[in-house]
Amino acid sequence: MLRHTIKPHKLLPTSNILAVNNHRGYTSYKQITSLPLDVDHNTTDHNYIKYLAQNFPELGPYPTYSKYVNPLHFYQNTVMNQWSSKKAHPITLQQLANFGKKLSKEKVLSSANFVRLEIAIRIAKKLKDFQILPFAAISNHHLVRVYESYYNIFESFRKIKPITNLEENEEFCKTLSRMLHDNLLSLPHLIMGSLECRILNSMTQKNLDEFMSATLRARVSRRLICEEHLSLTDKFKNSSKNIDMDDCIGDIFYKCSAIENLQFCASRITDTYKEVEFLEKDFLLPELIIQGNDVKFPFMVTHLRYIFGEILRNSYDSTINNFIYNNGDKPRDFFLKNRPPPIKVTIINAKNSIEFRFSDQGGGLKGMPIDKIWSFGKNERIARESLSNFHKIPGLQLAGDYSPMNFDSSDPAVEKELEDEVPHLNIDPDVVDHSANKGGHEFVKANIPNTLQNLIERPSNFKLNLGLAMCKVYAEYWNGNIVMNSLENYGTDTHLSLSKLEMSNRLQLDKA
Amino acid sequence: MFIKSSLIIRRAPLRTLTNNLSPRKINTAAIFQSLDPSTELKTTSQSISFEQDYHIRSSLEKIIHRYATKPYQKITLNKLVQYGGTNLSDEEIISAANETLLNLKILNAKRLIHIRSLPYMVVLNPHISLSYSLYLRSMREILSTPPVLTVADALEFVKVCEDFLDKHADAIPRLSKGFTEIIGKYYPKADSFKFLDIHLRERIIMKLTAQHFIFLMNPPTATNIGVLDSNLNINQLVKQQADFVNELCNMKYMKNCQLEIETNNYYTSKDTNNNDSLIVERNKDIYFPFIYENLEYCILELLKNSFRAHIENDVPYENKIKVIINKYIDEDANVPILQIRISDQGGGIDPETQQQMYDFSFTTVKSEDDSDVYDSQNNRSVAGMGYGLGLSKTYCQIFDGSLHVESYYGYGTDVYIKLKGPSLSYAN
Repeated sequence: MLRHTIKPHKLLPTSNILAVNNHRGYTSYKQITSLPLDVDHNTTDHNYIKYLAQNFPELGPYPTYSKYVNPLHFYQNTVMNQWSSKKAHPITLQQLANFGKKLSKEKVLSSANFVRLEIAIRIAKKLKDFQILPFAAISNHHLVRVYESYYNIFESFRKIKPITNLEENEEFCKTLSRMLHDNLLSLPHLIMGSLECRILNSMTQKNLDEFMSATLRARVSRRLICEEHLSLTDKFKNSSKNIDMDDCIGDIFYKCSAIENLQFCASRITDTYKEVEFLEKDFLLPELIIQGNDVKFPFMVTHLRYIFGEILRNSYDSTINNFIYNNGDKPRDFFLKNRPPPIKVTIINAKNSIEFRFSDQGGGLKGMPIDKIWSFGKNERIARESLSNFHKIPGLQLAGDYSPMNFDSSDPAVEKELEDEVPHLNIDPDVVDHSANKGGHEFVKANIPNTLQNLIERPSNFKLNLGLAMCKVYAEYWNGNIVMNSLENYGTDTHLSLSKLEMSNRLQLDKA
Repeated sequence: MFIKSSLIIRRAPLRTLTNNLSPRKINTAAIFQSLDPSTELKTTSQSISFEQDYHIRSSLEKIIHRYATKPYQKITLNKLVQYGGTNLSDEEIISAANETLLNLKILNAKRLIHIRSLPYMVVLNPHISLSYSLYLRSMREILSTPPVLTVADALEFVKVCEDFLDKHADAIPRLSKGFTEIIGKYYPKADSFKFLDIHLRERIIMKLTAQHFIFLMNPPTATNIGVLDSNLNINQLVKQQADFVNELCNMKYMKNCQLEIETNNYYTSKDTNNNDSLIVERNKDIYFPFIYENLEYCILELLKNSFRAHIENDVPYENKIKVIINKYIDEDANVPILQIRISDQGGGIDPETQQQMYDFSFTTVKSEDDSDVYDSQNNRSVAGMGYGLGLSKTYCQIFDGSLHVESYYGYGTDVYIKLKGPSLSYAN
């Protein structure tokens, strides 16, 4: 089937490929210059400026929708100041693992109280970090919402009384679930906010990267602490269930098979190519060749799949684009019969770590300086492109009037809504589900494969330029590392190393 | 390109002070899953796109940046004097108006950028945020002002300037209060003073710019060229300030001080044979081209300090506070120089105070009554806002002048003011 439409075809940020129909009746691909990405801010039209100027109150300090950020906030903040000077407690994975064994009621309650205090302290520290950054940056409408969301969590948690029995623990777990749910909204805001800051230069690139990395790491820590407790509670209630203790540390790390997860991610990526208008449906895709023996290691599955997914996606994207570009003059048949060069993954089982090398022939980094790869927003132009694509992602139309949840409420209407939206966060003891973290097993809930699919398969033509930066944060969080080496106009090698978690007694969750 | 007003997003305030959630469904989006690897959620309802919202906000910030980074010519006395004489042509009026408009935009934008660079919590302080909002509002007004094309427009623009000055008139006490609340806690002391230093200086320049145009169109005295009074009687100014300070002292202490003025004027003149002869005039009123309000403020503050020192240290009434007014010509720069020395025997300033005396918000006055301190418009307080010396120094330095305090601890203090006038080539 011939394509008659012209569709933009995004390569790496430095160029665009356009699919055009030429007179011979088949599609070929041409490179075009960048499309304009932003409103023309150099306008001197007085009427336009006058119209814009009416919106100056938007730059004011107190957003109308905000529950916390108002003139009293400055004085009410003294409470938070006290909390932020308390010490956060670092935890090792070994401690988590040991805690999970031989559960008792005292351990559950002790864990609950630990989480209660720890979250309040860590959030307070994060809020303090926000408060000393420049107003120009934090008053960004997205970052204010993140600040708001964090303040909401702080206010709720500091008011929770000590937990003395299992009923109170149930209530507490409901609060935790709601907090986790509510906190989800903050990630896109965080990212959009930081992109906008990059474009408007409210923060230097260095400060922005540090801010994003620190905030994301703290976020992972907090969520882990919460999920650990939820999992613990669940396990205590279902102590009759048979859970293979060898398979996990602390109940959220399951033994993952490297090969299984690589293949899972690769298949999801190739599926999206077929579903989305990135490529013609019958074009052949590159193969994934895995070399080396499989390794089964304990890790957090969702994180692992995310990291694999981002690296593989970049390889696939660039391999396909490069192949098409290099063969732009070939007839359409060519692409039906010839595969782009394969993507090779080598697995190395080292003593204290597991190493992966992803090699592709995707044309290399095309002049992008290596240190920029890991940066959020990279430069102004790329940040604008990312933000522009962000806005286009289907389903992303978040409320202009986002109202922060007040989860002190035990309004049954709220709970019902929550159940509709996120059935698997319902902590009905008979239906509790942390199956998402079971490495490679089938999921209990029917809807979960759907959502996990979205994880990796976001449309490739919406380049967000953030995947690798986020990857690095998550890899480094688990004492791992990512390094990239590029052979210009040939391909890129990505070296991912992950620590063997059971071997390490190093402080893990101390990155508060 | 003109965006239709229907796209303006007006947000209804959504306060969740009660426990009732808004009727709108909880919003989640597919983006969560695609970015956050540690959760899974379904997409649900939608609402307004962020894109239009972003365009408006980013355009605003870009406009501010654009103006803040425009090249801006430093205000000098020579520049003020540029429009010599009282009769300005229509073109000159329109040109001056547009230049003023542009300068106000630039200066206002710079203030906004500077305030926005403060830490988030600092600007959330209600007093500082009021100051910030003030600048946002005046920026809006200034940006909405159309270019001046006719003399009628220029007259309208005078009103804009007056309104501008009105808005910013009494901002310092509020800013001062805000800073006392944040200093040391949310912003280091040294950085705070640096901020205030720059802020106050630029604020003075901004007000001068507006005032200058108003006075160009409506000169307050026959000798005014905009804000510059080309023939200011310095002796008279000092006497008037001394009288005023004495009124304040009578109200507060029921006491008075005496002031003695000595003048010295040193210049060359052509004598009857057209030769240059040196003339030293003593004890005749001295006239100097300068800005009345600025000099008035400096003299007032310094006299307040001296009078207060005399009274609070029980210096005998016969010991007068002595003022010398000295004028000469700097031949090389071709400008007239004015020097004023105010000498008192009020006991001097202790070394510790000397370290801090220029700092804003620093004062040796212990105020029991807040209302006393914040009434700056009428200057009813003798002293105590903590801005007097710092601001005076700023006023002197704006046009390349200086203010220097020489204190003799245990005896008294001498303060030296030095001011440079506009180039003599302008003097007709």
